[in-house]
Amino acid sequence: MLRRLVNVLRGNVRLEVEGAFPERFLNLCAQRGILFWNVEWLETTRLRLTVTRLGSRQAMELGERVLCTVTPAARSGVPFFLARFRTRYAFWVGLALSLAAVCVLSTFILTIEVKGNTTVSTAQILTELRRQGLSIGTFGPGLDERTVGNKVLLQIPELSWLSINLYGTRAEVLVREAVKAPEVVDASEYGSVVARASGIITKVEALTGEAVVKVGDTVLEGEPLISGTIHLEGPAYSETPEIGQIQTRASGRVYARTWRTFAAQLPLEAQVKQYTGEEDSVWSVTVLGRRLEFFGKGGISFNRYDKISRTWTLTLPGGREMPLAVQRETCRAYETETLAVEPDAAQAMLKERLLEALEEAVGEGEIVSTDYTVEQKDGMLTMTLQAECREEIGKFVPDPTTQENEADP
Amino acid sequence: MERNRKREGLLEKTAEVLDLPGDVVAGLPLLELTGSRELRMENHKGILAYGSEEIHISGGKMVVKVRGTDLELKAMNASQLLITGDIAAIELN
Repeated sequence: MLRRLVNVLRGNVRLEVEGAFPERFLNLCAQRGILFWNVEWLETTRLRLTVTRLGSRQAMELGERVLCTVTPAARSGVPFFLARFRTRYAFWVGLALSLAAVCVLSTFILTIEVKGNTTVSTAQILTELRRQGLSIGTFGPGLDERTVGNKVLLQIPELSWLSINLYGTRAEVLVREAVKAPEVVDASEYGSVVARASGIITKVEALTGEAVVKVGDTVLEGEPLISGTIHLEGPAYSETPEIGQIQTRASGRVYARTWRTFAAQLPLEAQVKQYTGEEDSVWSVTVLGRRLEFFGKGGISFNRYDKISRTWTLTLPGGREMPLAVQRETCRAYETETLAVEPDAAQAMLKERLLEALEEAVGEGEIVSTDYTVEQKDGMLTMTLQAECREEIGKFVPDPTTQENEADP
Repeated sequence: MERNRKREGLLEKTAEVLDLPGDVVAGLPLLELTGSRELRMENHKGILAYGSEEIHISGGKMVVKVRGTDLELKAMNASQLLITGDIAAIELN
């Protein structure tokens, strides 16, 4: 098998030898070290044998010496196959251009892979990399990976480490995210926990400070719930019931039933698009991040239009996208018309918006009940949401005296 | 020529007396038959006649005649040759 492969690679010639004593030709070839094999005796004066491509010329010269006629019957092997293309200049030019294209294009970065990120999005890292000079189409040998990595680290403080590795046309970006520092509570800052919404207290958990409300109390927004001033009681049967007070930073949780009201409005008439049917398309190709329009009008003659883009990106079988894309941008002209809004649809939309606002305001609390009222007035649809919630209403507010001390050290 | 023959005869006898390999010392032909399908010969002096049923090879002082059917000279160089086919007999003259 290996010998056959070697013969194919170096090429071989089938020679036909005709003469009075062809065996003399064989002996001479053997003496001169010309390799031959597959000797086929056709007649007493004629035989065929196979020699190497390099030995064929010498064998033909030897044939003349022993008065034999040596003619090549067949040629095979890679050198003879390639020799067929010797005069095909366009083929050689194409081959040279292809090789040059492979050599040149393989120095540009075609794909960027980001690994190791969980909270910082890949898009954010890629955007910052592009700003610092690493994007699809960047010339690889001219890239200073360390400098780019350091600049990106400075711009994204959520990252603690970043490394850029170039593997041919692929750039691998390895990142490690920084561990978020815990929130530091300034214990020297005194203050109280006050209500951030009005309600009826259902539960009080005072961790530090003195609770000034109890379950069942009604509080208004801004009223203190847990005071940072702790009154120290005197000993029993003492003449002074209070021996003093200490200041602290109040902390704790206070839960309450609250009632919240939200309102939202929507006009009963809306501007609706009506497409006129006119449209223009522009085709473009994006190669290595550079866009080139190649078909369609550049200017748009419509006053109002929607632009619809569709992109076809060259994707390898593994799902990896290449920096070659064809894009079609279609501009569809439209005119606006005033149409009445369907009340049911408008109410559903307002209801959804109000509920979203309520959930955002309550946070981890619980919505007990909701009540919606709808009113149509002056061409506007107004919806009001009244909801009963159970939520934690405490928020820390520093004492004014502490703030003054901080301001005047 | 006569002098060469005498020298070969001397080397042959020396190899025999000293128990040395004759093919190495005196350049005597060495035949290696593998089954009845393959014959390898070293130190040959050329082919004298060739056919599919009989091949005559010069071995210096002798002629080696290989008889059989479908005989074929597979490969050959200055010192070795390889014959394949159904070998029936090898005769030395």
